[in-house]
Parts: sequence; structure tokens; C-alpha cells
Amino acid sequence: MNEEERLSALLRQAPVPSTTFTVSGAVRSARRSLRRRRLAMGAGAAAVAAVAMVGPALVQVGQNAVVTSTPSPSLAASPSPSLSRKASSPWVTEELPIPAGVTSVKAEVVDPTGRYLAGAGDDQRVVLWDNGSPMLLPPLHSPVHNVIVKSINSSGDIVGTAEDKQASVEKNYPWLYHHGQFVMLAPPRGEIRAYTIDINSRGDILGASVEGLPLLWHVSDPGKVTKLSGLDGAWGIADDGTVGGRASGSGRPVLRDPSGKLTYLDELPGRSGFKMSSFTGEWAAGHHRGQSSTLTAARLNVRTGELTQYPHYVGPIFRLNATGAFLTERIGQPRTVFVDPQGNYQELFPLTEADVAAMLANPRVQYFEAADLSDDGKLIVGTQTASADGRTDWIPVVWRLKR
Amino acid sequence: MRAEDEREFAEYFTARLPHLLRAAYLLTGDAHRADDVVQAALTALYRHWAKVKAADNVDAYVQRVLVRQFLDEKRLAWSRVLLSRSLPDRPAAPAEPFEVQDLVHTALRKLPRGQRAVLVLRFLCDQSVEDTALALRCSTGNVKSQTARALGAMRELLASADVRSVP
Repeated sequence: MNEEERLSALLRQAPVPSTTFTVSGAVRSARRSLRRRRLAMGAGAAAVAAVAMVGPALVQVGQNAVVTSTPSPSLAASPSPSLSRKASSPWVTEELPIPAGVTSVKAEVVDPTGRYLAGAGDDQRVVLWDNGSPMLLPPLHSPVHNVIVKSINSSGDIVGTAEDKQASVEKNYPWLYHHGQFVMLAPPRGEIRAYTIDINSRGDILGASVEGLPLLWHVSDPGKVTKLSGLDGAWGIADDGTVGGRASGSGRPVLRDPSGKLTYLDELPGRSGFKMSSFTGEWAAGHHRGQSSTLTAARLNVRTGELTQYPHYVGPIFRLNATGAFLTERIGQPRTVFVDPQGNYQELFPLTEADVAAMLANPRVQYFEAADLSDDGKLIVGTQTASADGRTDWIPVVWRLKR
Repeated sequence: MRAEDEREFAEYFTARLPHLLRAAYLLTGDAHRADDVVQAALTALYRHWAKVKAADNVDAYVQRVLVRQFLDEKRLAWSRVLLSRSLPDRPAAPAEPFEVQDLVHTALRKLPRGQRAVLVLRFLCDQSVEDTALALRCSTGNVKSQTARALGAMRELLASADVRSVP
């Protein structure tokens, strides 16, 4: 049974509480709702007529109602808590320029220095930003779709995956953009799918097979793939080639150095519940499982062994940088926040004041996704969603730390 | 709605109700909210039953409406309540070890709502990537990436139970 089959079985087996819900009751309720709707439409028409007669006072009420559910630029004229919160944020939200002809693109990764950013558009083309200047990269050689950008290093080398558009079976391509060209990375012998995960500054490319077994390529030899022994999962590769992953069989968090030596991260007292989901060299992050089933965001300094648990943040942590800062959500708040190395969070806001007002009025709606952060903790990349005329577009954005 | 249509409607949903309630419960993690989501979906489908039953794939259409009701919280009264982190009571006997069932619910709840919806549509409702993209009004690439992220998170969370096989 593969992973997807297992998940499918789990979802089908998960117990569901008994309910008094019946279809006949639902039909009765639906009938009542339909009647109310028809009555409301009639009453609404009457109310519109009344507003037209009464004038400005009722019109003012109407504008406030629109501000609550639909952003209104007029809010800018009267400072509100939302605007003051954005103004006091240490982060400035900026829209990234996009190349001519591109309408919708995500900003998905940033290199450790903050110089290079990259993302894929809905036309399956990859965009590279160099110091903020966008460049539309050439199409991948084969007809592909579902192009995904996974990682970028300080030389501007990008790795990602794409699905084969013509293959009758689900073939895909792990790819590398290096020295101005796309090249396909060789999958393991006999396999038609493989994934990229991370690329470090010296050009080591970490990936995984369909079963999740870690793979290694290098930018200088994309046709040569090596299976990494001792691991059955991997999360990141440090600049010295050390891989953070999961030990085969036991599932324990482990570091594998280039010689193949394994160092377990959960051996010190109190670390046995730590599970890794991201790794940057000095830091590993993920979640910690204590006595109960509650999963707490957690970060481990692999040099000192210091484990920090964050009960107010959602685990696992998937994005962290070299200083130990990371991106996650607060418990009960479905919005990405930046957490500094000391564990203090800073809110991120969307582009315009109207967007901010809408976001705070609808706190459970996600208006943007922050995806990656630079090592100096001064730049975060992500995507804001914009909907208009039944179409949803992506706007690539950065959050830049105020100087 | 004509009496004949109403009979068809009732027959169809009587057969599908357990599946829809399961999907809604996995999405919401709360029995009352699951009932609300299913009720909202059925009300919407009742209004447009003639269109629904003419669809090429009625099941996919219904699942799409259900998931959109879940994602469109503004229409539901419970949207004004913050999600609880505590697990609901579970009167049914679990088929998997308790810890795994516990983790399934916990793991789903840890996922962003969109990823939860992707997993339910793909692996409970058996919808294709294309149908899932249609339901969520996003690209197939987005579905694939959301699936990969969600699977990654679920993999790690479930692995912590050290249980790797399903009977």
C-alpha cells in the first residue's frame, strides 16, 4: 500500500460522530430557506426604493456595510485599527514587477542572500528576479504543465519539478536552471518520477524518489543521481552537504553528513518527541510531540542541542532561515507570521489599505501566502491573491524589513 | 420543485449522506459544523437540482458544492467562531489504533483549509487533479503543489505514531 492509498484508507476509516441529520429534515430546511430567500428578494427591492427616497443617512449605513465585507478605498480617509496596525508593522509590503506578457505569477523562493527570487506563472514559465528586476526564463524543453519552483541558491541556480504534458502515464521532470539554461535531472534508473527539494550554495541538489527516498544531484552533472543511504525522508541540505532528514525504519530526525555518517537529533533528554520538517544547517525545525497528541511548533539548534517549543504557533515549521527565524501561523489565526529568532512574531499585511481592512474583517480568509525568507531575515517572498470578474490572479509580493 | 424532482433529490442524498457527512467532518473537525456545511450544501443543491442532476458527474458536482460551502465561511453561522483545538467526542469505534485515528484528525486540523480540502477531494472523494482544481477554482499546478505539501505534513505527523501499515 503506497502513501496515497494509506491516506485514502485512513480518511475512509476515520470515525465520524453520530448525527441526527436527516435528508427529510434537510429538505424541509431547504424549502424554508427558499421561501425566505424569495421573501427577502421582495423586501430588498422595497428597501432599495426606500433608500432612494430617504437619502444620505441610509446611504452612509450602506457604505459602512460595504467596508465590512468588501474593501472600500474610502477607509483610508479615517484611520482605523487595521491601518495603524499596518503602519506600525516593521514590514513593508511591495508588489514585485512582472515581465511583459505575464499576467499571473507566484513568488515562491528566495536565495539566502535575498538577491534572487523565483516563481512560476500560470503559463508554466519561470520568472527570476535579480535585485528586484524580473526576467522571464525560456520555456522548459519538453511540453510540460504544473511547473513548480522548489529552491534557489545564492548563485541564482533554481530547481523545481514539472509534469510531462504528453505522457500517458504520470511522468514528471525534476529540473535545474543553471547558467541560463534549463536541464532535466536524471531520475533513478527505471523510475519516471522524482522530485527536487533543495539546492545549496555549492550546487548540491537534494531530491526524493516517489517513495520519498532522498536523492542527490550536482549542478555540474545533472545526469548522475545518487541515492542517499540511511534515510527515508529529507527536508534540506546545508552548504557543507549535510542533509537533514528522517532515519530509515525508525523515523527519527537525523543529520547525514557527506560521508554518510548519521547523527540523531533526539538522543538528548527531552528531545524524543522532536520531528523535523525543515533544516538549514545550524537549525532544524518541525514539531514536538509531548505527552498528549498535541503537536507544538519546535526548533532545535543542532550545534548546541537547544530545543525550543512554541505552544502558541502551529507546527510543523516548514520554512526557517540560517538565524533560526521562521514562518508559521499563530494558533487559531490562519495567517502566516514572521517569527524572529527570539520567538516573537510580527504580522504581515497585504498590499493595500483596502486589502488590510478586508483581511481584518474576514480573519479566517487567506489573502496571501508567505512562502520563503532570506537568511538575514530582512526579506520574505510570497503571493497575494486577487479576484476580479470571476478570475483569480496571483500577485508576487515581498515583505521588506523597514530600515 | 416538482414532487418527482424532490423524490429524486431525497433518494440521491439518502444514499450519499454518510459520505457527505464524513467529508464534512474531516474538513471541519466538528460534528455540528459538519452538519451545517452539509445543510448549506443541500440547500444550495435543492435550489438548482434540475441543473445538478443534468451534470455529467453528479457526485463530483455535489462534492464541489460541499467543499465550496466549507471554504466560503461567510455564509455559515459558525464561521464567526474560532476553530477549537480540542478534539470532538468520538463515539464510533476506531478501526485503526487509537493513536493513529487521533493523529489523523490532529494532522488534518493542522493543515491550512485549502490543503485539507485538497486531501478530502483527492483521497476521500477520489476526484482527479483536474476536477479538484475546478472545485477549488485554482490551477492543476496549485492542486499538485498543495497535495504535495499536505502529504508531506501528513507523512511526518502520521510517522510520529510509528504505525506504517493499515489493516
